[in-house]
Amino acid sequence: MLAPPKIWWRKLGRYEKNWVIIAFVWCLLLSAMMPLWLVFGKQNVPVTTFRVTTADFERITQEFAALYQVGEEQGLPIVAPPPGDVYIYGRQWQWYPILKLELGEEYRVHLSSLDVLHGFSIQPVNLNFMAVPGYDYVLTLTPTTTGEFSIVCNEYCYVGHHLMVGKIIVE
Amino acid sequence: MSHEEQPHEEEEEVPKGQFFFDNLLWLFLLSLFISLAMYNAWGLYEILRTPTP
Amino acid sequence: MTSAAASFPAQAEFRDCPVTAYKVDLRSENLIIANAVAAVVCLLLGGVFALLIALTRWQAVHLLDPVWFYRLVTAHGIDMLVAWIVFFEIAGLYFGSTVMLNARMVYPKVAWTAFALMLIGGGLVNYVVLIGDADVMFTAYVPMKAAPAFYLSYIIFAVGALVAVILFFVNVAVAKKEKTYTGSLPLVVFGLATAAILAVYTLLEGAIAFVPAWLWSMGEIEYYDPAVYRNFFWGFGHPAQQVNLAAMVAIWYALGAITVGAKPVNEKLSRFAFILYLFFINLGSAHHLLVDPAYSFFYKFANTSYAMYLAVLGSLIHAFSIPAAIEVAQRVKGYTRGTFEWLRKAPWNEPGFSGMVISMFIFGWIGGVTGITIGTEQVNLSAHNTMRLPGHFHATVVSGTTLAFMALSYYLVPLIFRKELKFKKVASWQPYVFGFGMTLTSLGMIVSGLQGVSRRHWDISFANAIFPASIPGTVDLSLAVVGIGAVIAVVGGMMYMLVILASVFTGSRREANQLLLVAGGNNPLVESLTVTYDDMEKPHVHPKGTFVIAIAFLMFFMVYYFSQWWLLGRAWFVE
Repeated sequence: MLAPPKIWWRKLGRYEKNWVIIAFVWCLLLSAMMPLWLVFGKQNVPVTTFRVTTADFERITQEFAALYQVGEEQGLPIVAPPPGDVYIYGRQWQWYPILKLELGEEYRVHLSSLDVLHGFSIQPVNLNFMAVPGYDYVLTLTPTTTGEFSIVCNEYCYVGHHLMVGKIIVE
Repeated sequence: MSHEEQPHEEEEEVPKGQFFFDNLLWLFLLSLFISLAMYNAWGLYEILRTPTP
Repeated sequence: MTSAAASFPAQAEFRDCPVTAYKVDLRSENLIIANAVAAVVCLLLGGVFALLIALTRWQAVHLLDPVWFYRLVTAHGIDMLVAWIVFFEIAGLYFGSTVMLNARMVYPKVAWTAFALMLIGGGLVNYVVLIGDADVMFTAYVPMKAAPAFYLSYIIFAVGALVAVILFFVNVAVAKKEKTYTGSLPLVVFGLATAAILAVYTLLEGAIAFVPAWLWSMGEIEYYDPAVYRNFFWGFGHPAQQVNLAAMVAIWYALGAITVGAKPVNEKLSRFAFILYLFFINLGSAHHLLVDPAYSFFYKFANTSYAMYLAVLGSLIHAFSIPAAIEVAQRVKGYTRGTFEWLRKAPWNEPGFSGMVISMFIFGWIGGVTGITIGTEQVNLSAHNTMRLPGHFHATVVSGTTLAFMALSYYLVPLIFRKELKFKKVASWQPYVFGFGMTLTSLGMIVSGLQGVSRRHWDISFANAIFPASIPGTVDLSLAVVGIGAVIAVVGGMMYMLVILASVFTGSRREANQLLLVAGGNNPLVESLTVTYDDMEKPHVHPKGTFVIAIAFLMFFMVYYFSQWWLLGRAWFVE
């Protein structure tokens, strides 16, 4: 019952063979897309990462926020830095600070977390990154649309998770 | 053990590819090695060599 | 070792199955029954949680409070992704390594111990989660801490499962030694062996992830690097689903054989596809790490692509060779008119057939296509942790694996439990209802995710948050589809429960007298014995229809895949 013949090492039939060739070519194409986009695409996954303690990252970010603060909303500083290094952290349950960026300028956004994992999800642009405590993840980001954008936390970070939302303003 | 071994006539007729496909131990070891080396070891190496600025 | 053969008749008591002609070790049969019943109980529990969760994400209903929502998402993940599926897989592994080889269960006492460990682990983890000591999700990412008992119960369950998996290999090795089968393993058992091998790696990684987490939660370890935990956790969490994949594909082959007498068109090709899984599919664990810090482009590229999509090639081969086996079997019977007569004249009222086809269709066309797309390194930027993820894996694990397991279990009732299946009409409709509901749920999730809705999120409208979130209001509609689909799927799940529980607990014991449940008194397994390779190679028997379906699938795949690159290209620049 369902037992294979003693020798089953047989040549492929015409249809099987054609399908395997087609499928394999498709797999090669799928593979090629990622390096091609790396070279020619404008949306690539950042790789630059540094090790950082949560205490250091909190201090650096607060110094950065104090330096470039231009306003305040809901107790959070609104920060308008020049193009270059920008710092933002997540913690239960807020993103600090609010960023005010300029259209078409390139920023090095240093992203980390002070406690548990958080998900850094820029909406409605729909770009998503992980914020991991102990790691300074550097996103080289160029906003290409203007308006107010939310940073939704999309990694579960305990029971206040659905309250955690931040803001990026692009002018 | 040794006197229990059966004659291997049947197996000798089996094509090499089929013999390889039938060998679960070999498949198991290769599977484990590839996963551990490519996913875990390489990944941990990259995590651990993360520089401090 | 030498005593094994000598003590063989004394230990095992066999019965002859009148339908399949298998010799069934009664001790193995009891273990299969125990594990299958435990699986179904977990499915029932997880299904109740599923309904409550879906009715919460449906914004107009919004049933649970946040604490219970997160708590039940945690429990739902564990009961479904781990408990239901692993219990059923153990039942499947015992079935494959004993019944299908006419062999004995070598160490039944050890198997019962494994079963007890899994019961204790599974029970304890549910208890710990439901009393609120572990609101950390299925993933339990360090440094979010749960009570030590949470990690411990995971570990106990995993040890039990690992013992059971090892028993599979022991049974197969002893069966070979005792010559209860000769030559190669049957393809279905080979597929189960693939699942078992993947399971060893999976459970090993689970131990590496959870043992330090357990020590850390008790304060024995000061610091557990969250990135290291994520690497090992996903070495467990993702391959666990690859175990399901391999087991499910093996079951598809089995259901094809049971319902229409399908024989693999080319054993070499099908086995090659399983071997591609063995070697490359665990690399897909990196799908979860694509937008994590610390990894290089090349690490993510090489792993997420399963080394040049070789595991995908395996799936594409199965996607062809299983329908081809069905088509050839049907054509041999004389359904040779046109391209699709073989499909039209298939036994669509037989739950094993419709369940298999629906499972394959949703798995491939929704689950597979979306999975490969969002697992593409850069495309993942616009998908990571959105509802596109649960949309993908509810199509694979629920519509695919769960439906395939359900379909197979209808045959286990008469053949292994030796009870007549009750409510056969309900069983005939069940795969359609369940499949339709899950399709709605998956599509609703995918469309929500495309609009930026997060997974595992109690309130995407951010009603109580400091800012409103810029998520479009149209997501209320797609989230309602998720809820409606879930309600329909739960009805399908209840139909399944009704048939199985009524048959198992209220039916009287009797030997099965036929294989098919509703599609007639013939026995496709026996009929297929007379079909030779010569019969299968005649031109009018060639799988032309399958080739057409496969090409249509590829076209659909390409359209979806490239549309997602196009969408990504509209986002802000990032590198």
